[in-house]
Amino acid sequence: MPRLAFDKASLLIFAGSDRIRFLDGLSSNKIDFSTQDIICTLVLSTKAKIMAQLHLFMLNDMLISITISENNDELLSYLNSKILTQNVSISDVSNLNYIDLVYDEDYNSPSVSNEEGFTSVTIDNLYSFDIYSKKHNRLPLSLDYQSFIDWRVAKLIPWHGYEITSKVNPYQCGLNSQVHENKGCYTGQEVLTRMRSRNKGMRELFVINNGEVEDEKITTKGTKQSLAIRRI
Amino acid sequence: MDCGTCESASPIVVQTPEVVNVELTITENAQSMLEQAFGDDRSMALLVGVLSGGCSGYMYDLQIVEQTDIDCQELAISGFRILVPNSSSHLLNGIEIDYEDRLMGGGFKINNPNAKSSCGCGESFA
Repeated sequence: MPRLAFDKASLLIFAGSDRIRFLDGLSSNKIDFSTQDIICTLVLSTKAKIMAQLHLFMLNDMLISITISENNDELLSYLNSKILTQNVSISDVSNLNYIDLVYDEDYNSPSVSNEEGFTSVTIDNLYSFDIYSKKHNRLPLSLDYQSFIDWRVAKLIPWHGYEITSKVNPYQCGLNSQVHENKGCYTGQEVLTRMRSRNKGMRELFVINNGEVEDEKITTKGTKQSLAIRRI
Repeated sequence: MDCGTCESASPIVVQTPEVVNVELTITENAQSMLEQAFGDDRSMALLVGVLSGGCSGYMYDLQIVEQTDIDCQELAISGFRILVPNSSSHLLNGIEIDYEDRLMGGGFKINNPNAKSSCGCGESFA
């Protein structure tokens, strides 16, 4: 199970009695921990472009988000401006923790485990984030990033900086599963609903053999196969 | 995971927007609907607030309350008590509260000069 440093993620703790409603109103997936342990959701602009991806889970009454954004300061400023009268506070504990990405392992189901300060969060049965204090030594890391890319291509997983950017909406980068179609209003919802009902602008992520399409259409270049996005 | 419950991590400082002295208007249609809602009991107040969410980022929140714990400024307009949270005052200054009498999509509407855009149903704005 190769392990990569995932330092571009930040670790936020949401506190306050309104935190669930707050995040539900600002992100694309339904925030309901009665049915699932880990919720992957997207903070979108009013034009439904992706501002951040949040992997949310509860740990000892804390609502924690492994947050991936192109600009964390901008995201925090955006979230802050939306709090207003709601009972919500946000703490950034990124500086206190390492976040490692562990992949190519057999997982049974999405889960959160926490033993002796070592927290493991499994996403979509595919990979996990390991979170542990910087008071410990960092676990040995793999330096073979190309292997991760090839694994990701084989599993059809969109990734940040490749398919997932602030220039696309969830339907344009293979994150359809992180958009709840019936949850009601959230920022960017009107745009996505219109796309879905008119079936316009919808795209899908797919695997191609290298050489089958021009390089500029490829979003992730693997050794033998690559990922690209095409119109449905 | 180190959750920062020690002194090494503190919550991010929430940006507090500047409090604005709110001026707002209520159309005749809205006033007559408020008359029906309040009746003769003018001890109640209309709380005009803003929450995060909605299609455009902020949602209007209208409530009839007797009092609230929220830090508010109180306005008296046409005999009605109107409460506006100070933390939302920068978003609500200059609004007009209207009422549209339609079978579908009717109800109280807020025309907001501060809104750069609003969603189709009119409940949220950016």
